[in-house]
Amino acid sequence: MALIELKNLKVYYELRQGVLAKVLGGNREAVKAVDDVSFEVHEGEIFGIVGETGCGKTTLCKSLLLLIKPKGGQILFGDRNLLALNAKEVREFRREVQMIPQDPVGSLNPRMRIKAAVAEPLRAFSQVDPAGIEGQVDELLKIVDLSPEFKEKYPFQVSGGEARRVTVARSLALRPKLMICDEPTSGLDVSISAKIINVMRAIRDEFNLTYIWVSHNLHEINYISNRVLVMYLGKIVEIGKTSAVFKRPGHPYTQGLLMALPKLAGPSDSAEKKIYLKGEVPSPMNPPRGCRFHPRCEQKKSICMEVEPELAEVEASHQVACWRQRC
Amino acid sequence: MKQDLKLLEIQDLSIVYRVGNRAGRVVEKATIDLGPGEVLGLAGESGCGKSTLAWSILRLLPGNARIVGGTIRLEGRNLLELPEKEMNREIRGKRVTMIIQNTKESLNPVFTVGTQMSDLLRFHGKEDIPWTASVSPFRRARINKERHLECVRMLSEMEIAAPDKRFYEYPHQFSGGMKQRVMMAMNFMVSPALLIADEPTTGLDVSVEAYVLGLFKNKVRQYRTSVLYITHNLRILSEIADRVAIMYAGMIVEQAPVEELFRAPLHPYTRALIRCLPEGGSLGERLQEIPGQVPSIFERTEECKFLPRCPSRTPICSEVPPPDRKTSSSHSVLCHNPLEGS
Repeated sequence: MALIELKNLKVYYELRQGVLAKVLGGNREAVKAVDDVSFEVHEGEIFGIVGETGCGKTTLCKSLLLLIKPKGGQILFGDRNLLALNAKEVREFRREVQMIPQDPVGSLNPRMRIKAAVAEPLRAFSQVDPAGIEGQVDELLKIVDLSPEFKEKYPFQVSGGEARRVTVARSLALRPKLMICDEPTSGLDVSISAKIINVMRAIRDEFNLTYIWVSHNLHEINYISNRVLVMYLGKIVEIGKTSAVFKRPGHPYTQGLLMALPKLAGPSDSAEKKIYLKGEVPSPMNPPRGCRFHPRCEQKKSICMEVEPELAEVEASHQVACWRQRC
Repeated sequence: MKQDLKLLEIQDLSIVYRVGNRAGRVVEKATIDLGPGEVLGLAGESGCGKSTLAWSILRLLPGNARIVGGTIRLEGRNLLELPEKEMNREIRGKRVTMIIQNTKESLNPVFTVGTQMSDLLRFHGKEDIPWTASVSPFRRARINKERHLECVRMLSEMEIAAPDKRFYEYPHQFSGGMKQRVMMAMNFMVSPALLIADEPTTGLDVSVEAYVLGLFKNKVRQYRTSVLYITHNLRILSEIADRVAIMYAGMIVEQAPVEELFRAPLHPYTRALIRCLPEGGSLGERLQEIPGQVPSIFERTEECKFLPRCPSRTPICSEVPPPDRKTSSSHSVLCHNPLEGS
C-alpha cells in the first residue's frame, strides 16, 4: 500500500529579477530543482534515492515535509492531499513524518542539553505530561543505544556518530510513520556508519517505520534499500527494485554511476577499460533539450536530443527513462 | 647501489601533542617505507594519526606537536635534522608535494588559476631569474611565454577542457572535481619524488571521484611518482594502491600488498574494518560493527591499543606489547594472535 505518493511534483527556485525584466514581463527564470517527478513509497519499505550533488535529492525531501512549497503537482499521504492542507492540518501531519538532517551537529541547538533537544518534539506536541518526559527521553536514548549519561551533555561534547544517534532519537520521539533520512552516514567513519545503519534497521523493525533514504553512497543504498530511485537534474531516470537496478541498470547514467564504484576486490576487472561519466552536470536553469543526460551520454541517438523520454517499464516494477530501451 | 633502494623510510616515528600540561601520544613507533614509483595507501579511522604522520614528513606539524623519536629518511637524508632553510628550498613543494583534503582552501581565491600555476614554475622551475636581475625584456617575455605554455599543457594533460581559456579563470569558476585536477596538475608540474595525497577525493561525487582517481592513477604511472595516499575509504585503496598500511590509534597495525590485505587480513582490526562495509543485497544480516571506542590519546598504554575491542584477545595481550610479526617478505602485522587466512 502506498504510504506517500507524488504526482508530477515540480519544485522550482525562482531567481531574483531586475525591474526592467519585471516590467517587460515574460517568464521568470527558475532553477528546476525537481521537475515532474512521480513515484510512490510503500508502507514499511526502505526507499533509496541516489544522484549526484545538485540533482534535487534534498529539495525533494524538503518538499515532502512541506518545508518548500512545490510549484505544481500533488503529494498524497494516505488519503490526504498535503498541498491542500491548512496550517493546523499541516502541524498534525508533521508529527507523522520526520527528517534526519544531513548535518547532525549543526541541527542540534548548541545551548540545549541533549535531553532538552530530544524532549523538544514531545513538548511541542504535548504528548506526555512534563513529569513523564524524563522517562520518555531515557527510553528514546536507550533505543538508539546511548547511555542515560548523555542526557546532561551538550552537543559539542558528543562525537559525530553520537550526535547522529541523538537526532535519530529525537525524530523518533513522536513515533512517526515515515522518516526521511538525508545522508545519515555522510562524514562518518566506516565502523560508526555501520553502527548507525544497524541502529536504524533495528528501529525500523521495532516501530514498523518507512524510510526514505537519501545517500550518495551507492554501496549503502544497495545494502539497505528495497527500492531505489536514481535522479539526474531534477528528473527520475530510473526507478525499481534495488536488486534489479543494481544488477541490470537500464539507464546509461545509472550504468556510469555503478561503473564508478570502487570495489573492494581490487582493480581486477580491467580498471583501464572503465567508462567514466565524462563532463559536468549541466545547469538546471536551462537543462538540455530532449533527454537531460544526452550531452554526457555515449549511447545517444538523434531522438535523444529532441524529445524527452518518459519512464517506461523494462521489467516488472523497474522503469527507465531512456529512448534506447524503447526501440 | 642496492637494488631495492627506498625513497622514503620512516622508522619508529613517535609524535606527541601537548594539550594543556598533558601529553597525548598521536603517532607511536610508526615504521613505513616507500619505494620509487610505489603507491602506499595509509588507511584508518579519523583521529588515528594518519594526517599527522603525513604532515610530519614535511615537518609542518602544529606548534604543540613534538617528534619524540624516530627518523624520516628521504632519499637517504634524515629530514628531521635538515635545517629549516633547506627544507624550504629543497624539500617542501619540490621533492615532496602534497594534495590536501580541502581543495577549496588550497587555491587562492583572488588569483587566477594560471597565475598560481606559473608562480609555482617561477619558484621551482629551472630558469629562475630574480626580478632584480638585468635581463633583456625579450628574454623575460620568452620565459613567461614558456611558463604559460607549460601550464596550459599541464592543464590539458589533466583533461581540463579549453585550457587556454581556463588558464585565465579564477578558482570559483571551477567545479570541485576540476579544482582537484588543477591541484594535481600543480603537483605533477614540479615532478616531485614523493606526492602525499591526503584524502584528495572527499566531498566529490562518486562519478567525479572515479574519474579523478583514474586520472591520478594514470599520471602517477606516467611520471613514476611515489605516492603516500591517505584515506579512510578502503575501497579507494583497493583501486589505487600497491601496498596498504592500516593505522589504529597511532600505530601501524598491518602492512601488506593490497590484494593480500583485503583477501586475507591478519589483524583483527583490519578484518573488522572490512566487515563494516555494507555490501550489496545482504540486508538479512547485520553489519558487523566494532564495539567500543578508539582510546583517547591521553589513555594510550604500551599494550595493544585494540585490546578492549578485540574479539580474539588472549591473556598475553594485556601483559606484553604486541610484537611486529613478518609473515612474509611484504606482510607484517602487529599482533599476538594474527588471524589465519580468513
